[in-house]
Amino acid sequence: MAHKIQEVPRLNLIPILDAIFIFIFFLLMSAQFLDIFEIGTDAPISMSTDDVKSKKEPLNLILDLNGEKIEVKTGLNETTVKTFTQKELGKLNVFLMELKKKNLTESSVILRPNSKYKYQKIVSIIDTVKSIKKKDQYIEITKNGEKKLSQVLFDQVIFNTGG
Amino acid sequence: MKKRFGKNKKTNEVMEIDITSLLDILVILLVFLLKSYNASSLKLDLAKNLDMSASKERKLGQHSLIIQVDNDQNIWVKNKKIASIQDMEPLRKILKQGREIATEKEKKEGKLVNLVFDKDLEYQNVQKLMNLCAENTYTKFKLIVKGNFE
Repeated sequence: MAHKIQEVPRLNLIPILDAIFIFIFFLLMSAQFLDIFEIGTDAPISMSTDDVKSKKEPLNLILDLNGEKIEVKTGLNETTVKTFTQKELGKLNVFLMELKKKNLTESSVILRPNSKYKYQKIVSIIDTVKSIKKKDQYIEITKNGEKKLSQVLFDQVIFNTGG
Repeated sequence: MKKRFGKNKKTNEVMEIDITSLLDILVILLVFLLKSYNASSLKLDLAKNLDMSASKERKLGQHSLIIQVDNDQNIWVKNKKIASIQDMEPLRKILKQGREIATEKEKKEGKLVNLVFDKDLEYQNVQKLMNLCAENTYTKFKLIVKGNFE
């Protein structure tokens, strides 16, 4: 009685290994281990045309950044509406959300930092100005007439470079 | 004869290498690389003595002129230290060259520039650089920041 051992068919892995190797080399060459992102801002020039077109008085939202103080100003005569400190960025975000609800068409904010203001602080204020909580998201109509869920609070950040 | 035949059979056997562990490593490497893959066209070689600001922003960068300013207020373009905030004349020349080759659309809408600043830089220095860029049609400022995953 001869026992015939059943041979297990082996899978040919060579082509898939070749492909994985090529893929790894491609990924290694294009890898960037630092996650970098961009914050879009504009020179003051870009805001003038919008202001002329709109019939309603513009919101003209300005954030005066001085030391630890963040002054929120609105209107053409730059009336101070509220003042926050650097530690109250959460409250600032809530306040800006309320302002946005009243002025849904407005999307720009002017930042006026003091000359000694640190760059990292400016970036965290930009984050606050842009970020919108999921529960506060609203449906906005784009320039093409499409409806979409809002992703940012005030999209256009303008630096007052002249000041 | 029988003996010789048996000897031959032994030498013809192909040696098999167990590649299971190698495959495991490859799969782990592949997953790691895929996770860290960034589809952005912007590639950045960070200048020395420059600590980037952290932000919650998640918009991927685009390829264009990159200007970096380190903690010592030195200005870096294409990985070369070309000027300082106190003397920006070499940078002005570079930006002027860019303005000369700008298309009509770029002149009208403004050219794009990626700005990388050290997190401890004061606004007056940021402002000086932004003004110089704006003077030379580079009005679309893209502030490059690192991801903050807190």
